Amino acid sequence: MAGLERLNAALAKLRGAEAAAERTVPGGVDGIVEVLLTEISETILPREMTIGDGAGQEIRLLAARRRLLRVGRTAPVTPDATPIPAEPPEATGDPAEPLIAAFHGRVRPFVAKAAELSVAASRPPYRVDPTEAGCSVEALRAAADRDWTAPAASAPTPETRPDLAGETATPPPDPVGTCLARATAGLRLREGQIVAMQGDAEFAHRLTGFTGLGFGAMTKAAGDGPGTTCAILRAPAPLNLLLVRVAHGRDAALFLTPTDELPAILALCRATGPAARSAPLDRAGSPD
Amino acid sequence: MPLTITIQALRRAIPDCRVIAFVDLSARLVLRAEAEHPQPQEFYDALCLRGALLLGGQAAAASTEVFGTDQAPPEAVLLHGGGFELFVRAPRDPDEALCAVIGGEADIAAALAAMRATMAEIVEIVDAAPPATAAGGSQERGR
Repeated sequence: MAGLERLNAALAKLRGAEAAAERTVPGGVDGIVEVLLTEISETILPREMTIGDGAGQEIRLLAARRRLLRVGRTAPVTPDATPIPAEPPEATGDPAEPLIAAFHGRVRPFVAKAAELSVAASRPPYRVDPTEAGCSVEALRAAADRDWTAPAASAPTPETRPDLAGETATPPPDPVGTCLARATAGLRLREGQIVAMQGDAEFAHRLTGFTGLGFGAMTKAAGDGPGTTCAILRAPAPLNLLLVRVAHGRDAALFLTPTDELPAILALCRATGPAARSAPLDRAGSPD
Repeated sequence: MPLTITIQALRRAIPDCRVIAFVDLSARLVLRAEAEHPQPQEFYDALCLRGALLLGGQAAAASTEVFGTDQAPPEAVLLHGGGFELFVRAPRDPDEALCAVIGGEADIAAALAAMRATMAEIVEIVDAAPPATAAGGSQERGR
């Protein structure tokens, strides 16, 4: 990458200014982010940018055609690390939104917390689809200008969680929204398109990657029926997470939640599920 | 204890349990089944397909990225047709799973716990049995 030395020089200059002042320079993080954006805007061929924090952690970006294409997860620095998915997420909504969320929700905090930043760039060890939309630098800058914050930070936190497993006789009118209110992170989809993200930004970004093939398989397994449909995958131990798809009408929720939420989710799905609650098995079979 | 008896015992142990099947997810093959009422092959084929979609297919593969692990999910729960379908993967052979079809009012957590315990028993049975007879027998189903 032609501008890499210039980038590292700029990073060193910014860090040096902070160290000299022995305080956080106002606008310092913004300055580093702007340097990264400039670098992306000058990248034509696919390049993986690895940003290290000097404390054993790194985060990777994939840029090409002056656009940000993918953002990896924060991960320990290891020789065989693969923090960027080799395939683009099959976003069903605006492909820029999850990238904006990942850049400002993950890369910016990573840069802000880093003790000693370093940046390296290399050709990615996988093929990059030349039609992968990604996100323009202008959109990333615009999001920063409007003080982008993670949806979780701006969303009001309910004081009490609805008691889904309680004795409420009236089913909640919006099981999708009720489930999302209990989620660690989640997406709301309407007719397959992401219309809202909420909760932990890192998890929400992972969920956007799941909305392609994985979500399609869950949808196929659950089928389309009246009332609420539900499919749940439990994470392997020792992770304490459920990956849940709940659909009702045109809306669906894809979310992560702790395993102890299982009874509450199932109670909600029962309450708003198909009317044939006690129907006998379909003896003719029900192939999808 | 023979595998068939183990599966029968599991169905009786879970209230409102209508079907228990021990399946091969990759082959979409029911190796053993125990049902409250006889079911046609199409029923088991569809059950296997849904289990494979969740535990053996793209959903399972893509979920590893969401969970941040390289291990596939060990269990799945599906609300289907007014009842629940539960799937518990074998701990050592990821292609094998126990499936349960239970009524919509059943205690899912208790049913899953019973299925985990039975799966541990099945592992012991399969380990103890000669390879040729571990999954075969007169109750075998499949395509």
